[in-house]
Amino acid sequence: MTVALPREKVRTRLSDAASGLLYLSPSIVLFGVFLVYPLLRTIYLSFFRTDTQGTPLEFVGVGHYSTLFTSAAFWQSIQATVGFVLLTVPLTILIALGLALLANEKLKGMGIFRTAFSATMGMSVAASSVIWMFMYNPSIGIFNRFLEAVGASGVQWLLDPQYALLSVSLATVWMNIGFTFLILLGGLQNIDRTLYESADIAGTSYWTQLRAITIPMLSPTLFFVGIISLINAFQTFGQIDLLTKGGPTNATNVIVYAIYKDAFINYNVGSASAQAVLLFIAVLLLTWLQFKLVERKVHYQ
Amino acid sequence: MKSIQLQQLAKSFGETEVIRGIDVTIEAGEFFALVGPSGCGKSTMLRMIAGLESITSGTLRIDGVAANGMKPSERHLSMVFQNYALYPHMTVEKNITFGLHTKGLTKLEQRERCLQAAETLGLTDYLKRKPRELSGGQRQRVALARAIVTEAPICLMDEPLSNLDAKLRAKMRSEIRQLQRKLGLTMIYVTHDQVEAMTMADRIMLLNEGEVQQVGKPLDLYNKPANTFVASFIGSPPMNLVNVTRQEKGWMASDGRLFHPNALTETSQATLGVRPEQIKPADEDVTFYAELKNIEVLGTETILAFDVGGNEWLAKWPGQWPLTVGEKVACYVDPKQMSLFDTNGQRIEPRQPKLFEALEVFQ
Repeated sequence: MTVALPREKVRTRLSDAASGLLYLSPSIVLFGVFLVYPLLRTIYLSFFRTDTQGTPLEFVGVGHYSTLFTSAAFWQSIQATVGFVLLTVPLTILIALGLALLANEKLKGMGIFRTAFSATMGMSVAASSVIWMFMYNPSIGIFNRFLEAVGASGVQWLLDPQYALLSVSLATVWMNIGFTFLILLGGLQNIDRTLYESADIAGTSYWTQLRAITIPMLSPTLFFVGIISLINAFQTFGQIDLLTKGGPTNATNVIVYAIYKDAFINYNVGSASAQAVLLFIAVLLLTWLQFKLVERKVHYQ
Repeated sequence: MKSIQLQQLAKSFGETEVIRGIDVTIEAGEFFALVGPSGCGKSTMLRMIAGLESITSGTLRIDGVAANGMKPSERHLSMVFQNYALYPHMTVEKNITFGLHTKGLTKLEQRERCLQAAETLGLTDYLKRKPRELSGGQRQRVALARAIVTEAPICLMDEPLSNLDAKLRAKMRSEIRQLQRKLGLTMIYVTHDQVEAMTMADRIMLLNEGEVQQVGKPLDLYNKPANTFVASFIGSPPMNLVNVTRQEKGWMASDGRLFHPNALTETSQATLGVRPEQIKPADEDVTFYAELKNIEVLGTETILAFDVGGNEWLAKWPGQWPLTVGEKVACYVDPKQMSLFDTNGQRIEPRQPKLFEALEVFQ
């Protein structure tokens, strides 16, 4: 049953909505211009053949998508992306967790280590990539120097298709540790000390406490860090561009780099848009899956 | 049952001394309350006994064995924390049995003990719940269950009732006391609430700024406070105090009121103390007259407020007294019930039954 509202009430409701929208307008405009419009435009373009400027010329339906699914290069970039994610995300979280557990101990001079462990957060991807480029350099880099010193032969870290993805992943792990470490350390420090004191009195071992108290109590933070790292790994671009440019033989041509090359080097905007849409759907599904599967095991207080 | 002995126990954080040379023996099976204002070091002392805080100097003996370097788990004690320290992600049952595997108990034995402890504390219906689904009082019981399930002979409690409302607190007070008696636990109980200490403890240790003020039975502390700090901390309302000087006729407050306490001392300056309930309506003998500043009629008793030598004194008269502010009432204090403290605040023991004859009465 609908009840007609008196005119007065309708008017106040409308003006309430108007002033509400007014307050929201800055973020609506920002989100609209920089997120919603590009997203819709990308979806739109993925159905068109375009000229080099990205102006749509001809509607091709799902043509770009069907071409992609039969393209070996596309599957190669998917493989590189999945490999990159699997190499970076678990390793970053594991190392950062280890460092955070160490830095959470109450020892003298721990502030120095905390600063050191989180320092990579303050470094730009470009600067760190250049550092790693020098370290991977086959003739002057420290890795090969070390290998030669122990009698092994040097490795073409960034030029050998066998090692390139691993090398880029290692550099990425190093770059991401700072942020992950800081978030995990914050999570650890939020755990009530008395929980451990009570466990100490009960006589449980360090490992039991880690398994039964620390990990469950840290699970919301781990979950957050996991999702952020996963999305970040899927969107990696900077270090690929600086270290390998997607090479050698497309071994490090991860999806975002492939999109960039298609759109701005090959001027194939339609196909690039289709890949971007596929990436968007993949990340959306994975995040949704993570929420569904993992959240049940997360203990929020 | 185990006894605990502290010998010159001290604790410093850097330069700051928080516990200064404490000597005390806590007997097996005793309910021992550690009382003091916040920051007096009582919690630190408890944590030193538990092994959660290192001992700077002195010796801690548990059942005669030096325990300074022992791990918390080797001291065979249990502890209840102020915030209960329950694991939010575990069920009540898991919370209670957590750590029992270290004592070599099988799953079945753990479950049996857990059921027994839950039975004792009325938690049987809540074993499958998480702590957040429990009320404050139930969480408190889980913490108690966790303490008793280990069957440790010594139990430490750090302000366990301070998060409960007044009604529940009174209930839990007697429950904890009964539990301690039933299980024969040696209990060390930290509280800032002197009522808790008075009602629960076999003996009380009153601490202030890391130093022992007095150790004794609750009524000893109440009736014979060792110094003015004890006198003003124990009792509600606390003991009335006033500075007095020695005169020929007795001890005189700055407003000219005379008192004749039963104490002998050479000094000419002292502090006189009288419990509010020892100031009685005068029948024949009048100790002093008081001009009332305030009256609170509480039904069973009446609290009178008046000035003595610049300090506000309170008197507690039984019954309901229809008095008005500004009225002058005659009060009587038995000289035997007056306490006298020297200029350092230390109690002067009475040595003679009566020192001064009551000669004059201040009008």
